[in-house]
Amino acid sequence: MTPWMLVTVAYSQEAENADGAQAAPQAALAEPAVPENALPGTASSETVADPGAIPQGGFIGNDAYGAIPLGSGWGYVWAVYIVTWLTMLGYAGYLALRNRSTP
Amino acid sequence: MKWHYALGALGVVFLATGHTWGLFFAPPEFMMGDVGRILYAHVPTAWNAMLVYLFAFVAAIGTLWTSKSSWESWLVGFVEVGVVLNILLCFQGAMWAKPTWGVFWDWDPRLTTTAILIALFAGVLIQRSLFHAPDKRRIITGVTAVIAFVNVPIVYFATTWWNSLHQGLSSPDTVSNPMHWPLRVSAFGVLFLAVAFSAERAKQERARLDRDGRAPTLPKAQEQLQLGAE
Repeated sequence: MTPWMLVTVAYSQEAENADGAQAAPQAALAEPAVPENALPGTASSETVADPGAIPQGGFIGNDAYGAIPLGSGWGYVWAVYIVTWLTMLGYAGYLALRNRSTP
Repeated sequence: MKWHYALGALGVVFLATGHTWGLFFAPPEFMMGDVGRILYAHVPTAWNAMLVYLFAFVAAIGTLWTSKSSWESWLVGFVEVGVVLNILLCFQGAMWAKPTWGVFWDWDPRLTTTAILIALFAGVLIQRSLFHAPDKRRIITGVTAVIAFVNVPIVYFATTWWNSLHQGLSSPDTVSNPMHWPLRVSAFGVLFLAVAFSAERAKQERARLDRDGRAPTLPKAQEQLQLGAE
Protein backbone atom coordinates (compact mmCIF):
# COMPACT_ATOMS: atom_id res chain seq x y z
CA MET A 1 0.00 0.00 0.00
CA THR A 2 1.47 3.31 -1.04
CA PRO A 3 1.37 6.20 1.42
CA TRP A 4 -1.08 7.97 -0.88
CA MET A 5 -3.54 5.11 -0.53
CA LEU A 6 -3.46 5.52 3.23
CA VAL A 7 -5.37 8.76 2.84
CA THR A 8 -8.00 7.55 0.50
CA VAL A 9 -8.87 3.95 1.17
CA ALA A 10 -12.18 3.72 2.94
CA TYR A 11 -13.15 0.90 5.16
CA SER A 12 -16.46 -0.25 6.51
CA GLN A 13 -17.06 1.03 9.98
CA GLU A 14 -19.19 -1.99 10.74
CA ALA A 15 -16.31 -4.30 9.95
CA GLU A 16 -14.08 -2.56 12.44
CA ASN A 17 -14.38 -3.58 16.05
CA ALA A 18 -15.65 -0.43 17.75
CA ASP A 19 -13.95 -1.23 21.05
CA GLY A 20 -10.65 -1.88 19.37
CA ALA A 21 -10.86 1.33 17.39
CA GLN A 22 -11.37 3.38 20.54
CA ALA A 23 -8.75 1.58 22.57
CA ALA A 24 -5.78 2.75 20.53
CA PRO A 25 -6.16 6.52 21.15
CA GLN A 26 -6.79 5.87 24.85
CA ALA A 27 -3.62 3.84 25.11
CA ALA A 28 -1.78 6.58 23.31
CA LEU A 29 -3.03 9.11 25.84
CA ALA A 30 -1.87 7.00 28.73
CA GLU A 31 1.60 6.36 27.43
CA PRO A 32 2.53 8.44 24.41
CA ALA A 33 5.24 6.95 22.30
CA VAL A 34 8.27 9.07 21.54
CA PRO A 35 8.78 9.20 17.80
CA GLU A 36 12.25 8.24 16.70
CA ASN A 37 12.52 11.29 14.51
CA ALA A 38 11.41 13.78 17.18
CA LEU A 39 13.72 16.69 17.72
CA PRO A 40 15.73 16.60 20.97
CA GLY A 41 13.96 18.17 23.91
CA THR A 42 10.45 18.00 22.51
CA ALA A 43 7.73 16.46 24.63
CA SER A 44 6.52 13.11 23.52
CA SER A 45 2.98 14.43 23.17
CA GLU A 46 4.12 17.02 20.66
CA THR A 47 4.47 16.05 17.09
CA VAL A 48 7.36 17.48 15.19
CA ALA A 49 6.79 18.28 11.58
CA ASP A 50 9.93 17.42 9.70
CA PRO A 51 9.14 16.87 6.05
CA GLY A 52 12.58 15.45 5.45
CA ALA A 53 11.83 12.56 7.74
CA ILE A 54 8.44 11.81 6.30
CA PRO A 55 7.79 9.59 3.33
CA GLN A 56 6.03 11.35 0.46
CA GLY A 57 2.30 10.90 0.33
CA GLY A 58 0.77 13.14 2.89
CA PHE A 59 -0.70 11.58 5.96
CA ILE A 60 1.97 10.26 8.24
CA GLY A 61 -0.14 8.70 10.94
CA ASN A 62 0.54 7.85 14.50
CA ASP A 63 2.92 5.04 13.64
CA ALA A 64 5.36 7.38 11.95
CA TYR A 65 5.17 10.26 14.38
CA GLY A 66 4.16 8.81 17.68
CA ALA A 67 0.96 9.51 19.51
CA ILE A 68 -1.18 12.50 18.65
CA PRO A 69 -3.63 12.69 21.58
CA LEU A 70 -6.36 14.63 19.87
CA GLY A 71 -9.35 12.38 20.40
CA SER A 72 -11.59 11.75 17.44
CA GLY A 73 -10.80 15.06 15.75
CA TRP A 74 -14.47 15.98 15.32
CA GLY A 75 -13.69 19.47 16.66
CA TYR A 76 -11.50 20.15 13.62
CA VAL A 77 -14.12 18.69 11.31
CA TRP A 78 -16.88 20.92 12.68
CA ALA A 79 -14.60 23.96 12.62
CA VAL A 80 -13.97 23.40 8.90
CA TYR A 81 -17.62 22.91 7.98
CA ILE A 82 -18.89 25.83 10.09
CA VAL A 83 -16.28 28.23 8.70
CA THR A 84 -16.97 27.01 5.15
CA TRP A 85 -20.68 27.78 5.44
CA LEU A 86 -20.03 31.08 7.24
CA THR A 87 -17.69 32.09 4.42
CA MET A 88 -20.32 31.32 1.77
CA LEU A 89 -23.02 33.15 3.72
CA GLY A 90 -20.69 36.02 4.54
CA TYR A 91 -19.65 36.55 0.93
CA ALA A 92 -23.29 36.36 -0.21
CA GLY A 93 -24.15 38.97 2.43
CA TYR A 94 -21.26 41.18 1.30
CA LEU A 95 -22.52 41.04 -2.30
CA ALA A 96 -26.08 41.83 -1.17
CA LEU A 97 -24.89 44.84 0.82
CA ARG A 98 -22.79 45.99 -2.14
CA ASN A 99 -25.85 45.71 -4.36
CA ARG A 100 -27.89 47.91 -2.05
CA SER A 101 -25.21 50.54 -1.70
CA THR A 102 -24.67 50.73 -5.48
CA PRO A 103 -26.92 53.40 -6.97
CA MET B 1 -35.21 35.40 -11.67
CA LYS B 2 -31.69 35.92 -12.90
CA TRP B 3 -29.88 32.77 -13.95
CA HIS B 4 -27.08 33.13 -11.42
CA TYR B 5 -29.52 33.32 -8.50
CA ALA B 6 -30.97 29.96 -9.60
CA LEU B 7 -27.44 28.59 -9.99
CA GLY B 8 -26.54 29.80 -6.49
CA ALA B 9 -29.64 28.13 -5.02
CA LEU B 10 -28.69 24.90 -6.81
CA GLY B 11 -25.19 25.25 -5.39
CA VAL B 12 -26.56 25.51 -1.84
CA VAL B 13 -28.60 22.32 -2.40
CA PHE B 14 -25.61 20.41 -3.82
CA LEU B 15 -23.24 21.64 -1.11
CA ALA B 16 -25.68 20.83 1.71
CA THR B 17 -26.28 17.36 0.22
CA GLY B 18 -22.59 16.64 -0.27
CA HIS B 19 -21.61 17.85 3.18
CA THR B 20 -24.42 15.92 4.91
CA TRP B 21 -23.44 12.80 2.97
CA GLY B 22 -19.77 13.25 3.83
CA LEU B 23 -20.34 14.05 7.49
CA PHE B 24 -22.94 11.44 8.40
CA PHE B 25 -23.14 8.71 5.75
CA ALA B 26 -19.72 8.26 4.14
CA PRO B 27 -17.39 5.81 5.90
CA PRO B 28 -14.55 7.16 8.05
CA GLU B 29 -11.15 7.23 6.42
CA PHE B 30 -8.87 4.20 6.78
CA MET B 31 -6.13 5.88 8.81
CA MET B 32 -7.48 9.24 9.91
CA GLY B 33 -10.93 8.11 10.94
CA ASP B 34 -13.48 10.91 11.21
CA VAL B 35 -10.88 13.66 10.63
CA GLY B 36 -10.80 12.45 7.04
CA ARG B 37 -14.28 13.94 6.56
CA ILE B 38 -12.59 17.31 6.06
CA LEU B 39 -11.95 15.93 2.56
CA TYR B 40 -15.50 16.86 1.45
CA ALA B 41 -15.01 20.52 2.34
CA HIS B 42 -11.32 21.08 1.61
CA VAL B 43 -10.84 19.33 -1.73
CA PRO B 44 -13.90 20.88 -3.48
CA THR B 45 -12.76 24.32 -2.30
CA ALA B 46 -9.26 23.69 -3.62
CA TRP B 47 -10.42 22.32 -6.97
CA ASN B 48 -12.77 25.22 -7.53
CA ALA B 49 -10.30 27.87 -6.42
CA MET B 50 -7.96 26.64 -9.17
CA LEU B 51 -10.85 26.43 -11.65
CA VAL B 52 -12.02 29.96 -10.86
CA TYR B 53 -8.46 31.21 -11.35
CA LEU B 54 -8.48 29.47 -14.74
CA PHE B 55 -11.70 31.33 -15.60
CA ALA B 56 -10.01 34.55 -14.44
CA PHE B 57 -7.10 33.82 -16.77
CA VAL B 58 -9.49 33.36 -19.71
CA ALA B 59 -11.28 36.59 -18.75
CA ALA B 60 -7.91 38.37 -18.53
CA ILE B 61 -7.03 37.26 -22.07
CA GLY B 62 -10.48 38.40 -23.23
CA THR B 63 -10.01 41.74 -21.48
CA LEU B 64 -6.66 42.38 -23.10
CA TRP B 65 -7.82 41.13 -26.50
CA THR B 66 -11.15 42.97 -26.77
CA SER B 67 -10.87 45.86 -24.26
CA LYS B 68 -14.54 45.28 -23.43
CA SER B 69 -15.91 46.10 -19.98
CA SER B 70 -17.89 42.82 -19.91
CA TRP B 71 -14.66 40.78 -19.94
CA GLU B 72 -13.07 43.10 -17.41
CA SER B 73 -16.00 42.81 -15.01
CA TRP B 74 -15.95 39.00 -15.22
CA LEU B 75 -12.21 39.13 -14.54
CA VAL B 76 -12.78 41.13 -11.35
CA GLY B 77 -15.56 38.75 -10.27
CA PHE B 78 -13.48 35.62 -10.80
CA VAL B 79 -10.37 37.02 -9.12
CA GLU B 80 -12.27 38.17 -6.04
CA VAL B 81 -14.12 34.83 -5.63
CA GLY B 82 -10.87 32.96 -6.27
CA VAL B 83 -9.13 34.84 -3.47
CA VAL B 84 -12.02 34.10 -1.07
CA LEU B 85 -11.87 30.37 -1.91
CA ASN B 86 -8.09 30.41 -1.69
CA ILE B 87 -8.10 31.87 1.83
CA LEU B 88 -10.83 29.42 2.84
CA LEU B 89 -8.92 26.42 1.53
CA CYS B 90 -5.82 27.45 3.48
CA PHE B 91 -7.87 27.59 6.67
CA GLN B 92 -9.44 24.20 5.93
CA GLY B 93 -6.03 22.75 5.16
CA ALA B 94 -4.61 24.07 8.42
CA MET B 95 -7.48 22.47 10.35
CA TRP B 96 -6.74 19.17 8.62
CA ALA B 97 -2.98 19.46 9.05
CA LYS B 98 -3.06 19.84 12.82
CA PRO B 99 -4.57 16.44 13.71
CA THR B 100 -2.70 14.59 10.93
CA TRP B 101 0.69 16.29 10.65
CA GLY B 102 0.78 17.76 14.15
CA VAL B 103 1.14 21.35 12.94
CA PHE B 104 -1.25 23.90 11.44
CA TRP B 105 1.24 25.01 8.82
CA ASP B 106 4.38 23.76 7.17
CA TRP B 107 6.47 25.43 4.46
CA ASP B 108 5.83 22.53 2.16
CA PRO B 109 5.86 23.20 -1.64
CA ARG B 110 2.08 22.82 -2.07
CA LEU B 111 1.25 24.98 0.97
CA THR B 112 3.83 27.64 0.15
CA THR B 113 2.81 28.03 -3.49
CA THR B 114 -0.86 28.19 -2.44
CA ALA B 115 -0.07 31.00 0.02
CA ILE B 116 1.83 32.84 -2.72
CA LEU B 117 -1.26 32.48 -4.92
CA ILE B 118 -3.32 34.47 -2.41
CA ALA B 119 -0.74 37.25 -2.43
CA LEU B 120 -0.57 37.31 -6.24
CA PHE B 121 -4.32 37.50 -6.91
CA ALA B 122 -4.99 39.82 -3.95
CA GLY B 123 -2.27 41.97 -5.51
CA VAL B 124 -4.27 42.09 -8.75
CA LEU B 125 -7.23 43.58 -6.86
CA ILE B 126 -5.07 45.95 -4.82
CA GLN B 127 -3.17 47.37 -7.79
CA ARG B 128 -6.48 47.73 -9.66
CA SER B 129 -7.71 50.06 -6.95
CA LEU B 130 -4.62 52.26 -7.43
CA PHE B 131 -5.33 53.20 -11.05
CA HIS B 132 -8.20 55.49 -12.01
CA ALA B 133 -7.61 55.89 -15.73
CA PRO B 134 -9.91 53.20 -17.26
CA ASP B 135 -7.57 52.07 -20.05
CA LYS B 136 -4.52 51.82 -17.86
CA ARG B 137 -6.52 50.08 -15.11
CA ARG B 138 -7.89 47.52 -17.56
CA ILE B 139 -4.50 46.70 -19.06
CA ILE B 140 -2.74 46.50 -15.69
CA THR B 141 -5.47 44.24 -14.28
CA GLY B 142 -5.35 41.91 -17.28
CA VAL B 143 -1.56 41.69 -17.40
CA THR B 144 -1.12 41.10 -13.66
CA ALA B 145 -3.87 38.44 -13.68
CA VAL B 146 -2.07 36.58 -16.49
CA ILE B 147 1.21 36.80 -14.56
CA ALA B 148 -0.48 35.60 -11.33
CA PHE B 149 -1.99 32.63 -13.16
CA VAL B 150 1.48 31.26 -13.92
CA ASN B 151 1.55 30.04 -10.31
CA VAL B 152 -1.65 27.96 -10.66
CA PRO B 153 -0.10 25.00 -12.55
CA ILE B 154 2.84 25.17 -10.14
CA VAL B 155 0.41 24.74 -7.23
CA TYR B 156 -1.37 21.92 -9.04
CA PHE B 157 1.78 19.94 -9.83
CA ALA B 158 3.65 20.81 -6.61
CA THR B 159 2.99 17.39 -5.11
CA THR B 160 4.24 15.70 -8.29
CA TRP B 161 7.33 17.81 -8.88
CA TRP B 162 8.62 17.94 -5.30
CA ASN B 163 8.76 15.66 -2.29
CA SER B 164 5.71 17.11 -0.61
CA LEU B 165 4.15 16.56 2.78
CA HIS B 166 0.80 17.21 1.16
CA GLN B 167 -1.05 14.29 -0.35
CA GLY B 168 -1.19 13.85 -4.10
CA LEU B 169 -3.96 14.62 -6.54
CA SER B 170 -7.48 13.46 -5.61
CA SER B 171 -9.33 11.66 -8.39
CA PRO B 172 -11.77 8.73 -8.74
CA ASP B 173 -8.70 6.50 -9.21
CA THR B 174 -7.29 7.46 -5.85
CA VAL B 175 -10.41 7.98 -3.75
CA SER B 176 -12.59 5.05 -2.74
CA ASN B 177 -16.01 4.74 -4.31
CA PRO B 178 -18.13 5.53 -1.20
CA MET B 179 -16.03 8.67 -0.74
CA HIS B 180 -15.79 10.15 -4.20
CA TRP B 181 -19.55 10.56 -4.72
CA PRO B 182 -20.09 12.95 -1.79
CA LEU B 183 -16.84 14.59 -2.90
CA ARG B 184 -18.20 15.16 -6.42
CA VAL B 185 -21.56 16.46 -5.18
CA SER B 186 -19.81 18.91 -2.83
CA ALA B 187 -17.49 19.97 -5.66
CA PHE B 188 -20.41 20.81 -7.95
CA GLY B 189 -22.01 22.72 -5.05
CA VAL B 190 -18.93 24.90 -4.63
CA LEU B 191 -18.62 25.31 -8.41
CA PHE B 192 -22.21 26.51 -8.81
CA LEU B 193 -21.85 28.90 -5.87
CA ALA B 194 -18.52 30.22 -7.13
CA VAL B 195 -19.90 30.93 -10.60
CA ALA B 196 -23.04 32.53 -9.11
CA PHE B 197 -20.95 34.74 -6.82
CA SER B 198 -18.65 35.69 -9.69
CA ALA B 199 -21.62 36.55 -11.91
CA GLU B 200 -23.12 38.79 -9.25
CA ARG B 201 -19.79 40.50 -8.59
CA ALA B 202 -19.24 40.90 -12.33
CA LYS B 203 -22.69 42.47 -12.68
CA GLN B 204 -21.83 45.03 -10.00
CA GLU B 205 -18.47 45.78 -11.56
CA ARG B 206 -20.02 46.18 -15.02
CA ALA B 207 -22.53 48.68 -13.61
CA ARG B 208 -19.67 50.62 -12.05
CA LEU B 209 -17.61 50.62 -15.24
CA ASP B 210 -20.62 51.75 -17.29
CA ARG B 211 -21.31 54.51 -14.78
CA ASP B 212 -17.69 55.65 -14.96
CA GLY B 213 -17.89 55.60 -18.75
CA ARG B 214 -20.95 57.85 -18.75
CA ALA B 215 -19.42 60.36 -16.34
CA PRO B 216 -18.54 63.68 -18.00
CA THR B 217 -14.86 64.15 -18.63
CA LEU B 218 -13.54 66.83 -16.35
CA PRO B 219 -11.14 69.42 -17.78
CA LYS B 220 -7.55 68.85 -16.85
CA ALA B 221 -6.14 70.90 -14.01
CA GLN B 222 -3.80 72.76 -16.39
CA GLU B 223 -6.75 73.81 -18.58
CA GLN B 224 -8.63 74.97 -15.49
CA LEU B 225 -5.67 77.08 -14.46
CA GLN B 226 -5.44 78.62 -17.91
CA LEU B 227 -9.15 79.41 -17.85
CA GLY B 228 -8.72 80.98 -14.44
CA ALA B 229 -5.82 83.14 -15.65
CA GLU B 230 -7.87 84.49 -18.54
